[in-house]
Amino acid sequence: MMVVAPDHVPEKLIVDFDFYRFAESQPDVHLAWKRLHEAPRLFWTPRNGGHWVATRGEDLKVMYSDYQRFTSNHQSIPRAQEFLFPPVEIDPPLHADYRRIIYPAFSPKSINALRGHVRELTVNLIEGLRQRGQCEFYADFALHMPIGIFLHIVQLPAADRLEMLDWAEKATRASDPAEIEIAFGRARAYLEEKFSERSKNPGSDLISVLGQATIGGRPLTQQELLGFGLVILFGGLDTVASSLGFITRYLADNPDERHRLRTTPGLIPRALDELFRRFAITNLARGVVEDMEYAGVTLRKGDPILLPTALYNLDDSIYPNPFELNYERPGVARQLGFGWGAHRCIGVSLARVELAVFLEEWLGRIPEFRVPAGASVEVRTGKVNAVTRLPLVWDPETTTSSAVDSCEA
Amino acid sequence: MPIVTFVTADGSQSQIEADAGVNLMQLAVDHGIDAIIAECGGACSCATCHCYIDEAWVDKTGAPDEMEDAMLDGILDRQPGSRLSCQITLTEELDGLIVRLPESQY
Repeated sequence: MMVVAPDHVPEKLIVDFDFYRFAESQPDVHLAWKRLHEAPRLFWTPRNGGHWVATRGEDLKVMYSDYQRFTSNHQSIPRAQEFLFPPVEIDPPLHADYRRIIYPAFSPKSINALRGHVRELTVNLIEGLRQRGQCEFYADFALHMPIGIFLHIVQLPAADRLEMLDWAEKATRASDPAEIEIAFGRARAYLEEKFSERSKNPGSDLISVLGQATIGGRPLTQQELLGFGLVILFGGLDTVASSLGFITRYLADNPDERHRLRTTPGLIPRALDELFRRFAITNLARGVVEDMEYAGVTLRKGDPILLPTALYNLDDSIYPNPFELNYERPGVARQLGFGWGAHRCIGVSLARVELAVFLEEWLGRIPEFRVPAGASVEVRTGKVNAVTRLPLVWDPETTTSSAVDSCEA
Repeated sequence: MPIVTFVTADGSQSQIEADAGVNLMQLAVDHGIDAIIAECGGACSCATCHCYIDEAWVDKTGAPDEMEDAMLDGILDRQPGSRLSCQITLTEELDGLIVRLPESQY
């Protein structure tokens, strides 16, 4: 949807830029994003309802975190739904009350206790594929893993994964908004049913915790419950699947790096920061709170600003030689891939554990793999940069049924 | 002005002079101490600025309040001196403070 530029937008800052489509047919979406460093510091595009795009690293971190000037109630472009999803679309200080409800479930301590389960699920998935010698990594692995973990956190049957996989695939891969809406509708109906069941028969799982939580002395409304449920499910779904996709494609193409991580698994925790930096996935937004001047540009109350995290993570002035992987890179722990400020991704510990366990188990069991010649890899941009199709092949003879640690012992 | 000694998990030390009134997290971040991430920016809502206050200094830095205590419950390897550095304001009284850093915040 193209719109006419409002009066406060000067002609010289208008660029026709569709962040859902600009990188189509480009093999490296991060390189495509990086080119925006050549654009003005802030520019305005008439696409997707009309919005600003911030292109410089220093501004991105400010805009993600300074909620007094940049509100989270405009979190996605175009605006997706009628009501605000807690906690991601609620500004501080109220935000903290919402976030505190789910923090205990996502704290490093709780997530660390899940590690054994994450490993079991990961091993089962890999072992189901190993002898086949090939897979389509996105549908066969990358979506299964976060769905399986979500089901465990909310204590729902693992068998529900197959039903969920169908709409998860549609919600993340479909390009038709109507199809995406149908998939979301089914996710909503599924969650509504589960909230209702658990309210009658509560346990200690996250769905029951939410059902019993209060905010300012009152229980959460149906909409708030549903908002939380969708954020927890989808927040960890295509994001984790995409990180898995980008990192796995990189490793498929780089045998030396694969070998290094396999033989020195102690590098993995540190390597993750750098991999999350190099392959930044999220492109969320903020809304302008009040009319203001920012870096000499007039912004009006309500203007949405797209904040592509790759433009911080690949900014030479913050990380020199940004396309190079350097696990000892200074300041890499403060990369922007998970956002910044009060809203920084609550699932960061979970994502780290999922990726770490994946690398340990996959590289140990299937050390040699590649993208077959001529195969088409599908990569797209949007609210999440995603690898939505990644065919891989390997020789089953080169695989083993044990992970990194044991095979190197 | 208070001088703070940071000791990383592998034992390396750095001494940093602070302006009184600055919080400990900000001091660490401003001086490139990577073990302190501080992703929420000091709102006591992320627990990624966790550190261990040296035993001899615990009385002077005081105890965590209820909100900080709840966040500390979620960290890896909580110990008696565990604090969120964003909740400690450096005063002249804390000149000489020794702060140990965890190996990882996650």
